[in-house]
Amino acid sequence: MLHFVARLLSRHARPEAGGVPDDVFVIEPEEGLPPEDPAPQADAHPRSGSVAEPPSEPPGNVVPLESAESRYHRIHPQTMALVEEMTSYAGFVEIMQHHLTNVCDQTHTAAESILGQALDIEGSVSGLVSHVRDTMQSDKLLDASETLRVSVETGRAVIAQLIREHEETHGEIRKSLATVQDLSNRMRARLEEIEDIRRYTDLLAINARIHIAGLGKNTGLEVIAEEIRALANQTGRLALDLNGELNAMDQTISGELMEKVSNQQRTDDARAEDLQASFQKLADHMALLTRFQADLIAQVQQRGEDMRNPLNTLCGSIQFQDVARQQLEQVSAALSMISDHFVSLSNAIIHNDAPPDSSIATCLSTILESYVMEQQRAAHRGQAAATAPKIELF
Amino acid sequence: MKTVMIVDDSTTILMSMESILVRAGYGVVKATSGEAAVSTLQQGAKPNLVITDLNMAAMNGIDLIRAMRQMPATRFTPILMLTTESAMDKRQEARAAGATGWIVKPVQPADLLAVVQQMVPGA
Repeated sequence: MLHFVARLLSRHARPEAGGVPDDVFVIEPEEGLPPEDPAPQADAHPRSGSVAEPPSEPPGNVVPLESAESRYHRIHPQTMALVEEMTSYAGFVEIMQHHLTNVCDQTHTAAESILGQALDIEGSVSGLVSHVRDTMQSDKLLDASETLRVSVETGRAVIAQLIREHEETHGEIRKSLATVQDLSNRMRARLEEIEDIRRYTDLLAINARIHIAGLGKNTGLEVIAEEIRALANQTGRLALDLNGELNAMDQTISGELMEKVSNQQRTDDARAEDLQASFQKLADHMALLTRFQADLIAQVQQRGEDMRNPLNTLCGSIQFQDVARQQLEQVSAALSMISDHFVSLSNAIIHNDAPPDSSIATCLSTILESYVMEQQRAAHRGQAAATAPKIELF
Repeated sequence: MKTVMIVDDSTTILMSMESILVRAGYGVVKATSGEAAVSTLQQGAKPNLVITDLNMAAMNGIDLIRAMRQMPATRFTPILMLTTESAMDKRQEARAAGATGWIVKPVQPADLLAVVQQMVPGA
């Protein structure tokens, strides 16, 4: 095209009659036609208002240089400037088409990139949700949770058993101490019998002295009576000592020993309660942890689903690129059509041809027929697009 | 697995449709032209549903429908047009050629899947 324009605009001096004035363009004959030797035109300047109807009536901007059959014409400089402007439109269109192609390519690349990244994100989200779900359902985690639960339950059962055994031990100790106290009490009863014997022996000694006194002195019986009295006294002292020992033993058993046992039991009970409370806290915390974990999983799954929906919508919305591409391609095609039309017009002027069959109006009709969406037709007509169902099943 | 064939000369549309359908549990066969779709079908592909663009170079969507209706294996296969075109006369032309439905681009995934599941339930 540019070569054509360069050739079109080249100036040629006429070889005879002193040449052509500078303000007149001379068009070469078309390739393949033998150049004729044009005779000089009497009037070198174009006639304003003339009509291009060779050979009889040339157009207003084209003046025959010689005979009516000649392919040589003079063109007014202003007309030539207009032709130059019209033919340069092809270069303009070419540049615009490059821009449109770039826009199409860039939006296509961007759309593919966005879609690819969205799919990557969606894949990651799906993978995360699946991983969390699989992890929650994995044997290892379930086993660990079950093991922890069983351990806590076992610990609580062991402590309960220890408490029961401890209580039994304390009961046995109390029972043994009670048995000892019972023995002490029974020994105290025996001591009373001993005391009775002492009192009886003492009475015997008194009676013996009385009878001995009635028999007179030196019977030798006084010694026996004295021994009986001494025996009674000794028995009494022994009973008294035994009674004191029993009292001391009672005091030890019922006082210090029982108190120590009771204190130990209270201490053990308190420790057992602490231990039970610790296990209860552990169980409670485990339940809390499990709830937190379940909430976390639910949140991850929900957020994952929340993210997947907009990503899914994004995958649909990216179709805009295809719609835009088709519209840009139509604009590009329309520009080509107008460019070709201008070239036809230029040729008609330069070669003194008949005007092209197509007009701007027919170009517009052709463009209108080539649209691929109702939206384009409506925009072409300057109207709002008719509402039609987006989805229709036949 | 139910299979959907997508025919479109736009790789963006092919990627978009594939992601939507695969996520919904469908298998996808792709073709970038009407001729490629016919060739794939002749090689034995048996999609449960075909979704085709209308405006494609050489063989357009309506030509593809006519070709498919001539093939015994796809004579009754549901075919949806997915196109930027919304003109009623084009819809009628597609319907006369044997199209099952018409969807205007861009279409939201939920709307598309509703139609696809109606055509091919049980995915």
